[in-house]
Amino acid sequence: MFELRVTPGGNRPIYRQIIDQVRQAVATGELAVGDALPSVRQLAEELVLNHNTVAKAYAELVREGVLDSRHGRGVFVAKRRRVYSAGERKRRLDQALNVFLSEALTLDYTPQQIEEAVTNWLDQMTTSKAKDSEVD
Amino acid sequence: MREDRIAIRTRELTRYFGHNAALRSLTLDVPRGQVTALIGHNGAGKTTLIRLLLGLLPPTRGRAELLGCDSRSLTPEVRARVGYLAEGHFLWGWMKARDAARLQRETFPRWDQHLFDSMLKFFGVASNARVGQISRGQRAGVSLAMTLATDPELLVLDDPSMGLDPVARRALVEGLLAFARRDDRTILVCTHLLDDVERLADRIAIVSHGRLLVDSGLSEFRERVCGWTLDAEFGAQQAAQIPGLIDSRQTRERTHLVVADPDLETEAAIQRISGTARREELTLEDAVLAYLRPAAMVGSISDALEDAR
Amino acid sequence: MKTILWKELRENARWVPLGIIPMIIVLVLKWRSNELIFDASEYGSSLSLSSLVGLVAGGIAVCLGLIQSWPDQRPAARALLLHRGITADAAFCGKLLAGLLLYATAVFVPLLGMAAFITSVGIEHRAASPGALLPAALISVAAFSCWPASLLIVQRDARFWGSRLLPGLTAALAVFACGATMHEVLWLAITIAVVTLVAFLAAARSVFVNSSHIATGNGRAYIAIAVTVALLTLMMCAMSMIESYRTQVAHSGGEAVSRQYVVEFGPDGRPWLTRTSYTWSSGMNKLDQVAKMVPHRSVRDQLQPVEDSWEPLRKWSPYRHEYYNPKSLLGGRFARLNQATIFLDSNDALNRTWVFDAKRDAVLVYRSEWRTRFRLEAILLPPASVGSFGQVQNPGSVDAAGNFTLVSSTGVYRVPGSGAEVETIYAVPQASSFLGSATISFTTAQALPRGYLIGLMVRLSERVVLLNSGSDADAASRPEALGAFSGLGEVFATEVHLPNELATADRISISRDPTIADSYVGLVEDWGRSDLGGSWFRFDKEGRIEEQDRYEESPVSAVASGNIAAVASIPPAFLAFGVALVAIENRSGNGIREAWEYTKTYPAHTALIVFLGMLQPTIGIPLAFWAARRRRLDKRATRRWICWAFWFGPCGSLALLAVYPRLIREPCNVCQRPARIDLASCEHCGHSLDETPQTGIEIFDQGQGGGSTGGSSTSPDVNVGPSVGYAGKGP
Repeated sequence: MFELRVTPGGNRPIYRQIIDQVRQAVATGELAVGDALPSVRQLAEELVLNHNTVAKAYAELVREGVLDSRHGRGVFVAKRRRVYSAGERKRRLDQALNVFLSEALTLDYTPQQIEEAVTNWLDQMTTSKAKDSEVD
Repeated sequence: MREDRIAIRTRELTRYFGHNAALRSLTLDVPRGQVTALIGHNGAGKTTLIRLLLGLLPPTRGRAELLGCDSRSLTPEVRARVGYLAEGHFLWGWMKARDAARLQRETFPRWDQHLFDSMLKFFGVASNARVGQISRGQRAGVSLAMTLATDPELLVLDDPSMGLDPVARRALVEGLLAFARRDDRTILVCTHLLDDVERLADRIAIVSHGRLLVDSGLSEFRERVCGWTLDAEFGAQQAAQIPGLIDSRQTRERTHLVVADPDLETEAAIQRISGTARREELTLEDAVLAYLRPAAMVGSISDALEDAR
Repeated sequence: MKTILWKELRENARWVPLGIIPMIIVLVLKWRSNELIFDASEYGSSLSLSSLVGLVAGGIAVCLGLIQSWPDQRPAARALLLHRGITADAAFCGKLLAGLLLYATAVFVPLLGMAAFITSVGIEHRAASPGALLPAALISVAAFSCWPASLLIVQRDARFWGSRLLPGLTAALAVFACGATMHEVLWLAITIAVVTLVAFLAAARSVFVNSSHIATGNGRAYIAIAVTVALLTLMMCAMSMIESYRTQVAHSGGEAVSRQYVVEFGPDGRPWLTRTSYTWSSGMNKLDQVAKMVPHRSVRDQLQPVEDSWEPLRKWSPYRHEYYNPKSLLGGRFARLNQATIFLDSNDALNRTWVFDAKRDAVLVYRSEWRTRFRLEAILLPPASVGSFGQVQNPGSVDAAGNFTLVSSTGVYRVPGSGAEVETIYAVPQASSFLGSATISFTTAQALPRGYLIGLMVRLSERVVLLNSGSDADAASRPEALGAFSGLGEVFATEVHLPNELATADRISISRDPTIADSYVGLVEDWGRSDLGGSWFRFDKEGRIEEQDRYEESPVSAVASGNIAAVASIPPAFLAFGVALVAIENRSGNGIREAWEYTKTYPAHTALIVFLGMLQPTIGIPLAFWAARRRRLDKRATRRWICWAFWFGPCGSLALLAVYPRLIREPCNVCQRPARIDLASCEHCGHSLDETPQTGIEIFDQGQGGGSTGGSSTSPDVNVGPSVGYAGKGP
């Protein structure tokens, strides 16, 4: 079962933490298309958060196309659709890579090692996603 | 009906105590339906601000409005719609918990006895317990129950988590969140606990030395305050070159900068000082501390300890 | 209000016993201090019941005020008290009502208890009446003004503790003044009590309600009054201390502090003016100078030191009468109630004690058993022909047989020790009013062996009546025999008509010339009468003047000699009040005319008084102007304060500084000159003081100040379905 966890006092704002975790869960297949997410109110109560914070995170996810808000019924994981232009997608990828690679390089890994790790991760993520879709 | 969307409004609010200015020209709007956290070091003027808002102290100049009513002439009707929890959870020691309820019940028309009783139960206070003889946390509980059970539209809390253990503190946060979820309730909370602020607040207002430095949404605040790490010496001369520099902190060879609203110019200024400057993610605590730390105090305590050794 | 009342009572009721205990102690001590009489004004007691109760009740009021205001002055307590659905006025009323209830419980319950106790004891063993507690009750009402005064002291935000405490001084003074005046001028005492109480409550309310701590509106006026009165008191105290020190220094060489002039008949049988001085060092009156009085010549400069051989003819010691007319609305009745019982005399031989009971209008005779316990023996009522004893004048004296002479405003009575009916020696005629009496002592050799004698002079409005037993002394004056009375034998009366001049004067003394039949000498000591003061008259029985002249220095020098400081310390308002009071109280009713006469007669003296009177406003007005400028008062307030300073002098001006807070200035950002912090813009350059330089680190929402973006600034476009739709809900 998908479970969100937030830690106040971290580097990332709480609504970012929610966004990241939902994104990752969708990316890894932990959340499948059509899965329902708890309502803003439920989630705010569960995580002891201001409901506006949760609402803000959901709104961001809806805007990114990760989630889909169906009026009167709740929030669901949306079908993947491209919400960004090609340029924007490129920019976001670059940004993510930049953060990841600078972190990795400061840990004294060689480019080969990093490449290997990335490949492994990619394999794992795609297989688990395939498994989930089989179960569906 | 277009209601005033501002619950608390101050304009150039200034208060002196003798020659000392506790608040200087403070202009602040607290919107309805949101939780605003008021943050500042001790003596920054938070309590003075709250006392001015509630008309318990007259301003030296400027004015304040509470629910659209001038603070200096708050009517009983407006007062009954505002819940106030003073610093230190003050209660008259001779009171029993049920006396406290009586005091509130007769002067607040929307008193919610059920809520009061259940909060007492949560804090483990018997209704005939004398307030002067229960623990500090329990007293805080009674105090909170007294305030929340008046069912206010606007809740003003001055350091409510003072003296609370982690369990009670969490209960307080949960209670306030539940309160905030109710229809259009506004909270102004003054606290030192930034973790709670992250959970609670929509907005953040920082007061330092009587001046309002920040009044913004919490996430905007975090986006607009950025940190850099430099590998270079950093002194007053360099500091003057960076616009919007809030705070700099030196550790061995590194310097951590906190800057407000960085733009290309800021980035260029930083790069000029050190080409290897890196942007770093800031926690809320980092950002707030940058505002609260007085320049003179930077590194001084640890330095003093080092010197002492 | 109800809630606050409940809170205050609940909180402070536990202190009430601490107030009741001293009250009970005072009452019990007073009850036990005399075995027979319980009275408000006791003989030989330094602190009367009412002043003791005033002290204790004032103390209770102060303590109550402090415990009701001090703890709630802490910010958090004040917030908890005031931040609720009631007005600050209601909160104040709650406190006041609670204070009143607690005060009444502590003060009036013991008094009522005492009254009940006195009633239950009855007059069987005690000459006591509950009415004796009335003065104490009145002073307790006045003493409650200490309650708002202590609230004022606690709640005012005066920076200088002295000016905070000043209202307290005024309240204490008011209690004192009430106690001092109530036996003489009751309406003044009641006025003082009521005015003080109202003024202090209004000021305390204003300070409490306007959380500014600095009173506004009426409260400010009342604080101004309180502070002015307190400052004046302080100044006058200081002046009188300086004056008394000066006098002490001046008189340390044996110089007289006060002098008394009396006419006596010298060895030559002629009237002499004698001066008796009181000197600081000896501490007693001593006859030190005499001068022979010669008609048509002032004896002012002829006083000579007394020779050892000089001795007056001791026939009668002169009658001296100081007239005082208590004009009061309720005075007579109140005085009767408060002096419900008056100790008259006691007779050791028979263990009997006489007490006059004003309420019963009767003389009570008690006999003591074992010297401590008293038992009522007889109640002697006034003779039916007279109807009432009226006001008892002075305690008479009892002879060996236990017969007793009572002098009262309706006549002179003989009270037989046997308890038989009271005999009327002399009844004051209906048309005359009784003004006082004097005992004449017979000290001449031939008078002594006659046993008990009476020698009384009764002053009526226009004449005096001399009563004496034994006819020889007045054989020449054709006395009228009044009859024989128990233990006295024959009593004779001689009526002497006073000349007009003496009859209208308030202070006179009369002596009878022992050498000439039907000849009397009267002295006017009434300095208020410019035409008569310092005159002496020789007149006959019908009031015909035979000789007259002035005998002593004019009062101008008396005032000028040592009291300049005293006059100068009285502000015009008090002077005017005093003049008005004199004009009202003057018996002859023409005080103003007399004052005008006086002014004409002594221009130099008048000029001095006017000069001294104007000294205060002359200093006070510029001071007020300066103080008003310092505090930046507007024109209207300045004018008012200048009026105030005119009437109250420099003290009034200084009160201004205590009433208005000090202005605080800080350098202006633009012109760098000190600017008032309570104004929005600099008084010099007009720049707003609120324009503060931005440091570039401020982070504000765009919507700030406009107030229109309001509710949804953090999540501008959230609308994520009904379950999360809360944020989107709104007006």
